[in-house]
Amino acid sequence: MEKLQNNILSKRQSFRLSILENITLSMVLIPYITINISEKYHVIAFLFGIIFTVIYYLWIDAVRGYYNGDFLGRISGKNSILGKIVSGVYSFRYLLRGSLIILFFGQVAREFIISNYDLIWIIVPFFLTCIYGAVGGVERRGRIGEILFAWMIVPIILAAVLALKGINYYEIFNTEKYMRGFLGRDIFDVFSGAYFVLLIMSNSELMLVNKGIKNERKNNVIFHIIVWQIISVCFAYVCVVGVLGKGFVASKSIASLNVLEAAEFPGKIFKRLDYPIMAFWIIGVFVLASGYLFWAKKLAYNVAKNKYSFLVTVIFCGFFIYAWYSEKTSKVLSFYLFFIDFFIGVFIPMIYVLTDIGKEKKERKSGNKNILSYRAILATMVLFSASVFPLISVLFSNIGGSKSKSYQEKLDLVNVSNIITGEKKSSVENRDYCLQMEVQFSENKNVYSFSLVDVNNFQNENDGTGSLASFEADSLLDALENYKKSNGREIDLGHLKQITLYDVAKEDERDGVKLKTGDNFNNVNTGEEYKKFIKETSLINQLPKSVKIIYQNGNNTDKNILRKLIKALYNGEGL
Amino acid sequence: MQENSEEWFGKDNRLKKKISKAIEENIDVLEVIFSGCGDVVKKSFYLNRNERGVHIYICYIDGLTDNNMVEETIIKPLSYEWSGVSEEDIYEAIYYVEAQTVDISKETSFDKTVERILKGDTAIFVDGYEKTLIVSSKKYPLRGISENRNEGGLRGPQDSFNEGFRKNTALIRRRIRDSKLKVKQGIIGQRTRTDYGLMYLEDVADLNIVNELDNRLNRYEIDGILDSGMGEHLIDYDDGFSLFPKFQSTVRPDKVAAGILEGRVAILFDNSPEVILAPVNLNMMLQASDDYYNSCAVATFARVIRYLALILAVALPGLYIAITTFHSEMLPTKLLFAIVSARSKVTFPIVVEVLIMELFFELLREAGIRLPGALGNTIGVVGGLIVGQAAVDAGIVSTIVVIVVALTAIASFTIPNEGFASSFRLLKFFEIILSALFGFYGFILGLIAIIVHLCEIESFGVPYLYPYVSGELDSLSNKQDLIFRAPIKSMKYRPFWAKNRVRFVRGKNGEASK
Repeated sequence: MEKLQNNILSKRQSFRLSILENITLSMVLIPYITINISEKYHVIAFLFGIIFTVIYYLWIDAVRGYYNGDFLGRISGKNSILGKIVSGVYSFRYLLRGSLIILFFGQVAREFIISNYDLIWIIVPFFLTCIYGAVGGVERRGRIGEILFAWMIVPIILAAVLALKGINYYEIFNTEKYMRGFLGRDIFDVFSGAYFVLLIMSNSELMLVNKGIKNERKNNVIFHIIVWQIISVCFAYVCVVGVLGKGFVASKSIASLNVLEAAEFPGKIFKRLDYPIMAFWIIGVFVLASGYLFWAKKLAYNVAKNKYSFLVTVIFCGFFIYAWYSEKTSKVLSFYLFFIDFFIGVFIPMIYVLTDIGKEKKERKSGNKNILSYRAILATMVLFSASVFPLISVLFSNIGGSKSKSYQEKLDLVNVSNIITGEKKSSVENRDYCLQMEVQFSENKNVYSFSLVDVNNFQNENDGTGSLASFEADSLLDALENYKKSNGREIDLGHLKQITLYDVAKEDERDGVKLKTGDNFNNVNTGEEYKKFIKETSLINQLPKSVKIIYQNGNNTDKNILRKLIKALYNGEGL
Repeated sequence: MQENSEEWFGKDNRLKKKISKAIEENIDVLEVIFSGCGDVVKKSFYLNRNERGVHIYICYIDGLTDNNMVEETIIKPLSYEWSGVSEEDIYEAIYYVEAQTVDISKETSFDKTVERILKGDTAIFVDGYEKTLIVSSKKYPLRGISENRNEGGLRGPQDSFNEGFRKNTALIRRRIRDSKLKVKQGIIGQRTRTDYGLMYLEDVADLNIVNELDNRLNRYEIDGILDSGMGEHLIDYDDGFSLFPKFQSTVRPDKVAAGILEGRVAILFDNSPEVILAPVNLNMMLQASDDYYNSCAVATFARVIRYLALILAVALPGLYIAITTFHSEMLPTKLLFAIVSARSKVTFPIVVEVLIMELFFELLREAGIRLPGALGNTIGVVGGLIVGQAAVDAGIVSTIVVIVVALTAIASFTIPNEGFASSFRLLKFFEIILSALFGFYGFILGLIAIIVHLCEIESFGVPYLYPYVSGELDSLSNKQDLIFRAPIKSMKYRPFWAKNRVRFVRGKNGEASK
């Protein structure tokens, strides 16, 4: 029987691991980054970023090919002190990246899936799972990527396809008017955005240390990886920006994931797919985070061949996760990751390549390794050139338009301080379900009216059984809180079908509450309360964004869906 | 002599005494060894072969031996039906001429002689010789070849193994009439001295696996093996602890024969009706014998159902808890309200409700196994319908949970291999707890942990998730027999662990496969 090769990945394993490691976070962060950094030039920045990424992959391929797929062996070979130092540096880098990913993921999980736990209790089980995934050899790692690939990719593709009907291509393709403009001072913004795209895609550096099958170059797995990753990232970009809108995507780092909520199953077998699809997205994050932990462990073992190397690696990773909690430390670490880490990741392999070229020339060895080395050198030059732009923009902050905020402030990837722990939800039978809601805006407090269902006698959405509850409050969340205090039960808005926003230009009385007139509410485009309400609903995950909104627009009554209104609000367009 | 009898045995419980030329000494040893054994038959008599007569001593165990055969083939020919022709060497005469049986052997070891007696053979001691004659006279109290009740199927043979080792090897030999089918036998257990056999095709199976199995079985000194399950778990943990079985156990001879034809090795144990096969992977655990007796479309459909059942068996209760507790927005409105309405009368939280029903079902299942025949069926009906309904009426559980638990149970019964299904029965509780704590997040973390664990398991070098992982090992046959079962005439190649990859298949024009 052919023996399994325990330290080599097959072509299929390399491909699948690489896809999972690279597109998991790229799909989420690239739209946010490009829009925040490059603003109106985000599409151009994205395209340049893709070009740099392709060059980067070719660079990886050249370096791997030069070392016959075993760059890790080159670093750790001969047990030299230099090898140990380099292994230590790489181990540190991977632990830092892994810890950031774990922390970022914890924020996502808290925001979307499980808001009633402290961040630490969300991170700990995930961290333990990553540790379990990092145990063992390369073959085990390859199998993990091989089997989990379909579990993540199929739901994500399904979500993207199902969300497509809500897409607005104008969000992506109205860049013509900006094409001429960017060649001026804004070029720094464009290439800065492109650099950050490259940075996000640089998770594929793990391919450098994955030892693949010997004849992998013949099978050219790198070509498949490039094509698939580019297609996936582009597709995700178009979906996210097209469905959610630029403004909303730029509002926070994890806003892109809201696109999953836009996916609707035909026939509405499930009302919302974002929870299960996001749960499957976790698989990709697991593969990436455990990958960093795995290779950090392997590299740490090069430093000290000790049975406690893995334990030390885990402790350091935990320490880095903790370090991100401190604002000062996280700024330092962010600066390092944004501007220094990538350089190190390119610089060190090139030093090895150049040194080895020199040795081979001395020994008069020839062969097609030279082609690989020249390709690697050329790619390095391009990559360094690309990464100069953000440095210039950072050093000379007036270049590139009014950039009052630094990139670190713009790219708010880790923000543990502002997260509020939600309360645990009561069980399903202890909630009251609201299918329709009305909001009447007024100068002082708005009136929120909830049409609650009689669950036991429910026939259909319009059957009229049930009760009505109205509260005056400054915000929707306050109104919900008031209800909970007065009735001891919470209102569940997860099945809301319709929201009616009343024009309060006319005097009206509802449930004994007299409303005051105001002349700035009768136009949905100028009414601040409208906008405040729409913004508030965008932050409530439980609220389905496909809910119908009926609102006053001048003297007319208009209908729309909440998602479109949110998009228009964040884009600064008319509602 | 009895005082020194403990010194006769070594630490491995083997008799160290040698057979003496003086038959009286041998008789004394046997008297001491079998003292207190009322079922041991010992007979001493003299043969009129020469002037002084020849003293012989026969020993066997009543109940394990065919008494009539002993009479007809040994006692009568040697005594009153003796031909009257005397030979110089009485021992050789009995062996070659006088004993009327083919299955007679010579034995020089006292320990082996005692072992053969204990196995049901008859030992003949002849005065003046340091060796004995062993006549195979086993007649075990066995049940016949019965219909298999644990591994059903609509099509295919219905016979099953029983506790007789030789009968079981015969059932396999009936199906594979190839001289290359080998039975490598051994003994395991210091006290039980249980026979075991490794059956494999010499030119197809990987002999490294055969040797590895044999080595593992011989590695342990244990009092005894009473069933193949004990043998399996004795050698299973060599690859590290796992809930998942690394051997496939079956009572169906056709399944074992199919496995041997694929290059796998069958291990049979005496006194056990379950035969175990190695190597194994997850895909094999979800295959049933009648997959190969029905058309490929029907078989494929059945396999799809089984894979779905596998997911339901581990995931359904956890999913129910995650969705209803944390993510009720996912459900269609009407369904949610139906659940809310059903739960309005229930006292306990959802997770407690599910755990109560699951534990109740496990009790029912255990009771059904222990109770015989019709009573077990009745308990199933009583428990399922009446007690379940009563629990709903009393507000202990809701109807939805009864449905969820019932579906989960049905799904687990769909899995052909009971040991494999049991692993998922246990993991289901793991998922329930994680889902109760963390909702979908906990559910998916549990799923990841299970999949990662499955990735690391190997069964004699074969990845458990093969060919979904490490598929590059085998480009010839790895897609023929997965969820989709290829037509029989297309299944030309054996899996990668077989030494000889090519099966004998004739094409449309009569050409043999290459």
